[in-house]
Amino acid sequence: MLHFRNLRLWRLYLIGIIPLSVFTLSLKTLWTLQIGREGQRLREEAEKQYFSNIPLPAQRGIIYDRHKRPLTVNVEKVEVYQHGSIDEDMYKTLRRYGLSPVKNFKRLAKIGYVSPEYVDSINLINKKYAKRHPGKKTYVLSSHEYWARHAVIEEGHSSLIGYVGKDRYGLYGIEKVLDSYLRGTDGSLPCIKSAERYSSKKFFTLDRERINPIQGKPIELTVDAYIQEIAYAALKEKVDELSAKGGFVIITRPENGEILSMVSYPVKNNENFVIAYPYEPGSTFKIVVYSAALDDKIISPFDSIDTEEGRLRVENRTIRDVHKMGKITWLEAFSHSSNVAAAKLALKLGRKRVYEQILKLGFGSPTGSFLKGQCVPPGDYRKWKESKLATLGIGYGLLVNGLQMVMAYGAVANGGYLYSPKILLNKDPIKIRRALGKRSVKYLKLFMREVVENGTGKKAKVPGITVCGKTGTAMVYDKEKRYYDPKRKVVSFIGFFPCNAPQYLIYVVIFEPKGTPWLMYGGEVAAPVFRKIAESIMWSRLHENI
Amino acid sequence: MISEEVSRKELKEIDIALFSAIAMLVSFGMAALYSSTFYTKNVSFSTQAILTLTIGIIALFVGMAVRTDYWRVITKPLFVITIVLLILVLIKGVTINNAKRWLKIWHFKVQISELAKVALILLLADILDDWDTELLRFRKFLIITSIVGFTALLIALEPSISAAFIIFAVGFSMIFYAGARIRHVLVVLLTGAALFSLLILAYPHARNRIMKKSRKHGASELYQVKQAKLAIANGHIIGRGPGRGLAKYRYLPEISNDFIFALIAEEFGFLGSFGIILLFVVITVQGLRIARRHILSTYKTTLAAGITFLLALQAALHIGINTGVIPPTGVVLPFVSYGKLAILVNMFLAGVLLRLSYEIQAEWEL
Repeated sequence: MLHFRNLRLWRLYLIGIIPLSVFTLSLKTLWTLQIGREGQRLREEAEKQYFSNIPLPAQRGIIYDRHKRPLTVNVEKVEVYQHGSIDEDMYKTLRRYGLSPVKNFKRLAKIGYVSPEYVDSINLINKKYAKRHPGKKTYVLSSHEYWARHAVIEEGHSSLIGYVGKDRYGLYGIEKVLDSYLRGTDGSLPCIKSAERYSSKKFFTLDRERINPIQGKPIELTVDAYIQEIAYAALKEKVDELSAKGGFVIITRPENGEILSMVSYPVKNNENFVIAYPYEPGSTFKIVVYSAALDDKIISPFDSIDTEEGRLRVENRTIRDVHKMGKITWLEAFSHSSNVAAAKLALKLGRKRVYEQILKLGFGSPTGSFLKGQCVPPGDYRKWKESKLATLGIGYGLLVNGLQMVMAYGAVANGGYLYSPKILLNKDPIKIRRALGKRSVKYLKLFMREVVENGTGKKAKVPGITVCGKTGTAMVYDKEKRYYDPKRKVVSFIGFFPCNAPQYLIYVVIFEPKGTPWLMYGGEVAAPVFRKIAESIMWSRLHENI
Repeated sequence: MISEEVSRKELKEIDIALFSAIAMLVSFGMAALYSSTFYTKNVSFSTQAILTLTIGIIALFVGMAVRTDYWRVITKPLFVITIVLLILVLIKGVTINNAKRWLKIWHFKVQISELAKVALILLLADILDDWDTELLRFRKFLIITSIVGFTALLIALEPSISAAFIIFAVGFSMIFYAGARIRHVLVVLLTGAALFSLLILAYPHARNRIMKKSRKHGASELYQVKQAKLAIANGHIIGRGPGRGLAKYRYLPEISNDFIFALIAEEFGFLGSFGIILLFVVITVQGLRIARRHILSTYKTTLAAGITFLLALQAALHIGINTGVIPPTGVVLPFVSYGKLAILVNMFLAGVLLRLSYEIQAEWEL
């Protein structure tokens, strides 16, 4: 036999077949993964794993006042996060940037904000850290840039403008109501995610398209920033002086329902007294019965009415006047705000007529603008008792909000038309209906003029201009004790000027002022605020500030 | 027997298919390696790779230039040195990830198990040719098997079970091919299988991998296997393009070594990965043909078979692990993966194989 007889070719082939068969198996797997159906599922999974989007936040639209003065601004801000422990040296460095780092810390914490020009410094600190700790994590700080929203004048405007939360959604006021319009749409910058847990490295990719942010649209409000300031200052002074619970001022232009100012104070917790709290209006509500009676020609200004010793008993309720006046004219009854006269008038008009007039003047229904406010419908008039009807006449038993009130008085000022409150400058004014007849407009102006000249609202008199107005004082219903608390009052004054061609309508409401009880009336508390605002407006018009 | 006169006769032409397969793999490998080091931004890694490759090419030409018979001179000293180094690794090796696999020589960390591969193949070819039919005796068979087993054991103790397995598999296949008796082979195979399973049981990380117990991310598969699958699937047909793979962003561990095939599959798609497999099939088939050509010389044929099987087995294991056919462990892809000594050794062995392809055939000597 040959010396090499123990070499067998089949053995060689057998050895060769082992890797070749693994290659074949691998090829089969490759086919299923890269071409077959399973691959599609895996590719979708891979997509989620490998890519992430860096959000490109859209800038919020700027809110302007009627003269294009910005009320809000967007500020670029950078949040800084710390990802681990740091040494003394770095601690000091970070303190110098105004951050509040933690020395021994293992997880992730927000340590403050820096302005955008310091982003590079943050990266430099990271580089230094990486050099000092080789082999460890390559960074210790990360930053997140975003647009912060600020009000230009925070104090006076915030109750109307509201504010924007950290998640960039409007939370109150205009920012909330017009959020979708102002916000815009965020874009995104696709990038490759690293599998490292704390990686600040970002890898941009051309595989995905960058989506540019759509910036929010700016809006122009009918508000006048200057008047806002005037109103806010006057209101604040009074509320602080009397340590009242709060108050608000609305200023409108009666001819088209434009809101020139809407401020409330205090602005703690961003409560907006204008919208959030409906209240019983008191005497200012008397225009409902007076306008109805005047239009129906039931009364004339100089007809007389017996106020019966200032006391009227209706069912189980007694309606009182502040001073007993005896037999007086309707003009006097209105200007001295006789409750007995108004209650008698309500009873005379009847449930249906009063109900109709309430709705006609826009009370109890939404104002038709996005500034809705809380509205409480008056309920079914057929179930009203006599006493309810009488109290409605003097402004109790129905909750209203300030916007409803200014729009109703706006109708008196502009010749009888009820408008919807207008807050966006480039929208057309919405005329809802003709609410008052010519007769009532004519005489109500006379009545309101008389209030300021000789009646309860003397303190609203502004030298040099004619003012129409009406005072209002209402007790607050205590829900727990179930009675009207004579110590807690809602005092108000609503008025417009000049009388012939009204340009400004100002409504001042102050909730629960504290002080001498016989001085806590609309004419004593709210009318001076009105006067102050009116004077300031006229003065600045004179100097062409507005 | 082959006489000196016979082998000095005219040379045949070089095996072009084999040569181009190796050249293509190397150039492909450079692209993949460069891409894989992108994320770490370790420039020296790439420059070192280029350096290693240069030395590797020199090794290839050395392998091609030197007559294969001449290697028999240095075979035994080389093997002894290797064994000494292997023991040295166990004593004062560099520990990375709980394994002492590296020896620091000058500035370089070298994996001595790679050197053991070439030393063992050369030694076995030498001894098997010397012994020839004596291999049929059980005593001789046992001696040569225990040489292989001892080398594998030293490597297994590092621990580097995959390398030990490769060493043993290659060495034993050479013995098997050289004509050991089937019954002897079966005895060793059974014992070997028992020992191997014992080893796996001894090292919990290996056991867990085989039993698929270590599960991350709540998935039903091992993390690496899952990531490799995602990368391969992401390659689709033509791939994401060179350098644009995503698995290298720390998704696949040791991507420059153990998962370079997944990276190629992702960046070059089905076409690329199919091409890589095809190139290795070419290497395997051509290697087997070279071994068949030299059937008259036990030295040359076992050498060719050993080299071919080493390259093919490593490639098969690497690709099998990447595609999830084989449970995961660290095996490098010859000519492609990064590893200084591995590239050097594989290139040298490829050079020897190429040399064998054009060395003159031994002739019958009746």
